[in-house]
Amino acid sequence: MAILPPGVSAESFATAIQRLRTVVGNDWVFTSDEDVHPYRDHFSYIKNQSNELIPSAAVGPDRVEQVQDIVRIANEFRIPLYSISTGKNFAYGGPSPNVRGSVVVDLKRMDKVIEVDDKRHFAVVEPGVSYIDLYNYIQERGLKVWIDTPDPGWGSPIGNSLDHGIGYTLGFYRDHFGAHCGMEVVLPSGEVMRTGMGALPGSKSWHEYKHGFGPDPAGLFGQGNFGIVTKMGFRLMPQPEHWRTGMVRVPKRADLIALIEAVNYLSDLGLIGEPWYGSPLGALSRNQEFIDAARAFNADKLDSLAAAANLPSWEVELQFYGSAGTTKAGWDYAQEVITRKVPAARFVDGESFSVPLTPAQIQNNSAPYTSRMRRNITQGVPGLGVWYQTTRTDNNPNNWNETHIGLFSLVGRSGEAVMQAQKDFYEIAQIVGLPVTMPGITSTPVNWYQHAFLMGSGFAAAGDNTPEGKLKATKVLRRILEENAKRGYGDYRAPPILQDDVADQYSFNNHVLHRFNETLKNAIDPNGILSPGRAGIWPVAYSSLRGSLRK
Amino acid sequence: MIDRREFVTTGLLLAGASTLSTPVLASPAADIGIPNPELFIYDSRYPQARELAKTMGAAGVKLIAIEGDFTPVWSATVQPLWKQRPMVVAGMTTERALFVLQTLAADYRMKLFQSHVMELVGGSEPLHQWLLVPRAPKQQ
Repeated sequence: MAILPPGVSAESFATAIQRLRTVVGNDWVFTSDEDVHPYRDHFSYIKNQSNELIPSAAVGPDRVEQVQDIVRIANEFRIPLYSISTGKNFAYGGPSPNVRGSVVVDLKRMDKVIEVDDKRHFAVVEPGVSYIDLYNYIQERGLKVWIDTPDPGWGSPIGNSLDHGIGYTLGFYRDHFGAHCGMEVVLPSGEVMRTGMGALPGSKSWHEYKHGFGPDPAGLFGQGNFGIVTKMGFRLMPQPEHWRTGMVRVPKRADLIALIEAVNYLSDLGLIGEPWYGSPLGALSRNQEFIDAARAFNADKLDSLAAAANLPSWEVELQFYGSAGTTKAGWDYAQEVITRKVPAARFVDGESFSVPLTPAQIQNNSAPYTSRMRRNITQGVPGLGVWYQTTRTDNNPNNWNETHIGLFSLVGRSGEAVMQAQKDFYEIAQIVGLPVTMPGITSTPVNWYQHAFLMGSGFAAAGDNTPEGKLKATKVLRRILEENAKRGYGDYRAPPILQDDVADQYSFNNHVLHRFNETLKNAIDPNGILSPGRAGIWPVAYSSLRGSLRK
Repeated sequence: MIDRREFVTTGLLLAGASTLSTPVLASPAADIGIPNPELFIYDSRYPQARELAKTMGAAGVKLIAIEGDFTPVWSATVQPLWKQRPMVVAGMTTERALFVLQTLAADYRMKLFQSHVMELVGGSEPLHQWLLVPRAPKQQ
């Protein structure tokens, strides 16, 4: 028990641990180095440093009443807690807390699927239910609903949605927090609160109408530290009968503007699932003429090089969920809408399958073009295979990539905004000293959130795993965040080590949003015991730690 | 019976498959407190892994084959076993499968005891030999 919570004596901590044992049983309080090890962040940029965010202990309740007791004990002994569901939020801190020495409240034992309704299309789960668990529950019972899973799928719907995670099917469901409907929360006082219609005893529509009556505080629990969520409802997509894809290609760089307008239109009519944008011009990235044209953002030259190589400048793969007939009609209509905007657009039929797809259909892409889609996630099938992105490969032969932190900035949902971001991110890369040879003129947005684009603005795909390398990378990431913010780009999500930095940038009107959140925090959680520092929200009791990870 | 040093340096974890022998794999290795593996998880795309699987299978170890991705066997085969109790699991897989396995194993009171990256022989991902073992029993 080498690490203690800040300001807590060894004697007091030992007493608190003993009290926790009486609540959950000896087997479910973890204090040895070996037992605490899994609660460290595998990808921490400060791994094995004196300030690494290692918890002092972990406790595993199996019911709401135990969570309440844990919170009361933490209040009594002034011990910071950090709650996790499955703790698989890698790249964003994993299971590790914002404050070194916190006690992790590991909710994996609360793993009941409480309800899945395939007529009204919702599920209610506890925090320890993973996407894989929920998928299996649905499959084993033959229920006709789909989940919308992140990739990988070992996280939980509650944890992922509370960190504003995303998926890959239809727009409404891809926003996992947006698709939640009703939650139960243990407040810092130890009381249990239900949001929306759950506040009405005997309500018949808790997981159908999430607003209830009056202000809805549910948003406070997303990326927040105002309570421990112990149940949550989610809207589910009815299982479609058919799935179809098609590829759209446009020849010129400037065509991206009209293409995105058309796809936005189709998306907001609810006709398409996640569109997957790309640029085949990446194939020219070693061509010196192309590099020179890219550096000059010379659209005419880029267009002529694309034409000479017989490559389209942009493409987007569309997907349609419905019946065989409606998906065909949807694809036909998409071609009509896009042709009106970009007469030179070309279309290639993709795949057309009855749902559910067979395992072979999920594994083998048979589209007559190179598809960027990871098929399982477009079908709501959770997987664990995506870790190929961090493993050592021919391109990254020396090290498993420990520096797995991604910065994704919100970008306006237009072609103009995307091309401006390409220029801005190139300029920023040069300012912060990244070894870039040319602008990312082929970089495309992801449309995880239906109504917003995200673009990678800093991702150490093959980083330096040494402490010095990580420290340097962290400084670079902070500089990127600063420069991004100067240009109006903000991150949507961050690991603990960068949360103060990101929070600082949401500074409109002298940081009034931040001050508002901390005013609430101090009122609701006067001892500051719940996840202090999360999202940059520091209660008075721990305010001295604000920004401490920058040192 | 091999000693700990021999086990670690020349045994299951650090040797190439062709040098492994049934006695090493089947040995209780009681002197280092590690019982025989109950499972051997291997990437069947690699000849070295298939060869070692034959040896392990002959020694009575339950075999689980994957092809890069661990997902297909997790829910149906491995998780039900790990829910029963922590166990010794040996494997020869790519690094990403090992990462997934050791992370999931931590949820079932197991830990990575040792791993060793093998030389890259074809393909873009090197194989790892590894051993997962139960964490120490909790003390009052």
